[in-house]
Amino acid sequence: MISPPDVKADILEAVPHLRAFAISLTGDLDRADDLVQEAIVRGLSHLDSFTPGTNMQAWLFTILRNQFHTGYRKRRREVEDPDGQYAAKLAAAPTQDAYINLKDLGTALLQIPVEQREAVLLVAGGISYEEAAQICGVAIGTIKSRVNRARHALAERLSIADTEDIGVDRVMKAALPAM
Amino acid sequence: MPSSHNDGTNGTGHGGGTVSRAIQDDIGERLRIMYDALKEKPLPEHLLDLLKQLDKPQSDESS
Repeated sequence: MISPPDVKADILEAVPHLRAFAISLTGDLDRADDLVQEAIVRGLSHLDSFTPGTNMQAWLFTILRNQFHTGYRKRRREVEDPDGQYAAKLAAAPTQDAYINLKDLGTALLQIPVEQREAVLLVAGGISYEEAAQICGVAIGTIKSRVNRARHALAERLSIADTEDIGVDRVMKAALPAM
Repeated sequence: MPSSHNDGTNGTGHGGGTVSRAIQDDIGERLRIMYDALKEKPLPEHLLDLLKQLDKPQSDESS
């Protein structure tokens, strides 16, 4: 099957997304680039299993994610020790918003469970819950709950407190008798 | 029965404490910004080379 030009265009377009996902998932630029490269090569050699009209980007994400998990099982220990190097790599990412500390966010990301990390990152990249569910091979409800838990855990790690809401919450709890 | 607005994020294991919707959104926004910044990172040479091959008609690359 000859790959039509728009398939190639779709792949080209997906690459920056795949890379952003891979970098933030692994915290390792070189490994991320390897994953992206493998996903493209694999994608190209399995184009016949791609259903035209469906989302090329989601398909490539699925391939990349599967490869990540294959490698992840082997390298678990390395991944569990993220501080420092990930921060240094993320620091090289251009950002205008000084108030957002990407280093801390990147470090915190690597400290949460990988299935929460991938879910929250896919959604951050503009992938729908439905597509994220397909990519990860789980139900939509599972993705939603993983995203919630991931954001919750990140907020805790970054010690982000919305004083107003939390204040109200505490007042309510204090005012209500335990049931 | 107090109906606090959280999405049933139970079972996280360690100590109670739910973050508000606003904080969840804030984290989501930060992640998006981080993600977008990463998308802008220039590609390394070996990826650019690989992508150039996509533009060529049809070359079998069996490495």
